[in-house]
Amino acid sequence: MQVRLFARYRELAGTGSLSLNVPDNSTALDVFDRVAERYPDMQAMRGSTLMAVEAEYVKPDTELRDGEELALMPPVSGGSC
Amino acid sequence: MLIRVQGAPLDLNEVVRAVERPSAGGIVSFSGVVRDQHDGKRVTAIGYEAYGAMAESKMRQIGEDVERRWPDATIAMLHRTGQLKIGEASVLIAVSAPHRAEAFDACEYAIDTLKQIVPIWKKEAYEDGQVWLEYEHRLAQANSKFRMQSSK
Repeated sequence: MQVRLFARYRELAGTGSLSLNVPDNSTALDVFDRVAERYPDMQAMRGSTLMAVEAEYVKPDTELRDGEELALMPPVSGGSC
Repeated sequence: MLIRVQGAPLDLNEVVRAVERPSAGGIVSFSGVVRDQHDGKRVTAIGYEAYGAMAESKMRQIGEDVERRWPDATIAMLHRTGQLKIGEASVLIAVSAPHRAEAFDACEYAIDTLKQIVPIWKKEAYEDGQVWLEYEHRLAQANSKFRMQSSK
């Protein structure tokens, strides 16, 4: 499956897009954990990470289907102060 | 509804014109602007990164919320990405309504909600380094929670 990474996660991975093989019925959190194994600095952010499938927020326990694109995102900080 | 995430500089006239109409007695606009300091540190620039397609769809969702909660209001929203200098606008919102109260309320709702749900991130540059906002804050929280748990 395709995983998109943004902001700090993109920097940690050195890329905004990863291809991963994941077992059937993997959840969004399973995929996060898989990615965070490669980039351990992400692990502390496990509880604060936003996840989206096809550009819509999903809960961490959402099961992913083949061919879907998952986005892993740090807490947002748009706008201004 | 005018909703856009763009790399080019934002123009306040564009959002104001987009909501002008004969039935509107008031137009409220909000400009979010890059400030020269944060927590006592001198900011030299801010970089904005967006998940573009999702950011626009979330901004559109906020716009639809606004027009549902304030049925007589019309809204326009623009957000900038890329490297911004001090004084440049990162976000512009305009709301028109028959009366000012609903225009003020709707505009405040829109910017508050945008900051919570729209996937855009900012990285502040200081004279001595760069920081992803909110990320660093949550990371510090997560680490202090971890330290508290491990010292139990």
